Amino acid sequence: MEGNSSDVLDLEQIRETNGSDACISAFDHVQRNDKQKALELLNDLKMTFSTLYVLLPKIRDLLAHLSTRNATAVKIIDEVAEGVLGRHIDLAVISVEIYETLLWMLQTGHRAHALDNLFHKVMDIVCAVLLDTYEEKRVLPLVCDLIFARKEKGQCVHELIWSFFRTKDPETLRLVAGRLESENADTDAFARRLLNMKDGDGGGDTDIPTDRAGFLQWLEKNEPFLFFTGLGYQYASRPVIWGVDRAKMEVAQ
Amino acid sequence: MITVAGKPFDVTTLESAFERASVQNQLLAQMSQSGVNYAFGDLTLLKFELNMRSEIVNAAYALNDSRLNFSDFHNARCNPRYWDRTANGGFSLKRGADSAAAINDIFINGGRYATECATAMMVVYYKALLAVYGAKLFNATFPQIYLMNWIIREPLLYQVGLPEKVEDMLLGDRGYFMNYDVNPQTPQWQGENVIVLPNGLYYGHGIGITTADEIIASLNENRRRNATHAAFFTDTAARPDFKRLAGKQTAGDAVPAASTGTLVWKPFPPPIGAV
Repeated sequence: MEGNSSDVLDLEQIRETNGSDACISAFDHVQRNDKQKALELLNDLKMTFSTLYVLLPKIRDLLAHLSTRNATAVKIIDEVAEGVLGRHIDLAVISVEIYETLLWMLQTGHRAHALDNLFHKVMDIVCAVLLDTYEEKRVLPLVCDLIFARKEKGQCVHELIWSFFRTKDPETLRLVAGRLESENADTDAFARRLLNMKDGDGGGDTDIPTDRAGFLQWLEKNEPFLFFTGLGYQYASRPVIWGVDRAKMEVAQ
Repeated sequence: MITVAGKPFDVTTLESAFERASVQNQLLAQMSQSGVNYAFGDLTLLKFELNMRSEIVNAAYALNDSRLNFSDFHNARCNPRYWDRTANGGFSLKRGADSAAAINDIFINGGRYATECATAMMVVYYKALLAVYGAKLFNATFPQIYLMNWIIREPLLYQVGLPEKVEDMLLGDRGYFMNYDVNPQTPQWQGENVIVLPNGLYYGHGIGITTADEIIASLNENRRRNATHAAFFTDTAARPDFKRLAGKQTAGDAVPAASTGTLVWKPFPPPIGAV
């Protein structure tokens, strides 16, 4: 049964403005007075994954009454938390139910950066499974947003970067190029590092233009010859994540 | 072959300086029999690299025995007496903490720490340097330490984050097993950083000390369904800048034992854009 969307949005607003504890208190208040209403709030279509995550410790005894989406999300959280594959849910199986839940988790959770390490880990796995198992590349912009938002906050981005480029899709480079010339110097520098542009450390490829427009033109020209290695920052401080196969280019010319 | 100051080096003149089956003698044999010219400016540099590699191997054995836990960055933890855990899962030496004591603490109280394989390699390197330099020079050289994967803020150690194609895998090298078809649910198994040990063994944090076949088997168990690529050992190795590190030791030896003032340079800021 759907709840009153404005109440759900209030809960969301409380979480964003006043934090997780305030959100839990507000929900607790509802739950103490009207359990049915609390359930309706949880199962409301406008409920976000970030808020559901925050409320999880308080709703363990309501799990049997959660919507399919919410119940699946809780299983995914527990699966990631315990780290034993297949204990709660088999994420290797292609399932519409799981796919739609993963999508909802990313779409409504990717802006929550002040939550805990488990939440970030869950988001990492959500992105990885969507991109790899479901080959859902329409989420690349969201994943790119998540990478840069986390980087700005000094949070871990290595696994996200690895999942992102593992798609071997040139769109990843276009999305990163969208961060070039950002007003935030660190964002610009980070984008340059991911695009392997020449930098002051002596690294980078001198053939890659260092301005956004130039890079996009260069990318269009070289796209047929791109390769992605699957390497990430677990391997090196400057991994060759992608490059241009010059031998292939010469053959083509 | 080995050359010292541009001349072919006769390893028999140095072998007796080390125990018969030592890492140093195994390295001398390996380098001298290779088609690669391992060139050293002088004998001191050769000895330094041999000893440093031996200590890297020792540190790998010690870390394996330390009960250091394996975790991804989200679950990383450290002893707050010496380290601050950063938001991205790294460990930053606490202000005022003794660098040597902090590194040793990882080996003594390994159970209080959890990290992934790349960060463990950095711990190995620092421990090896501690053994080679001694605590006084180590503390003076590394007043700040940041342990986080291959984000290396210490200029003296930049090279360990930059693997290159090599002809020979030498004892003490940092190698990498890549798991191309890793399961997306277990990204920590995308590869394994290892230290090359004697007797065909490798140390990789999270797997332990074992053979290449065993490491590959462990990685292969963590692949996506319908995987087609087996894990494999790459033909690249990362090596410290031994020459530069040796120079620090030489300079450190020149410091009078009873110096009354110490000029401590602030470390360089991290490179902009470092991930």
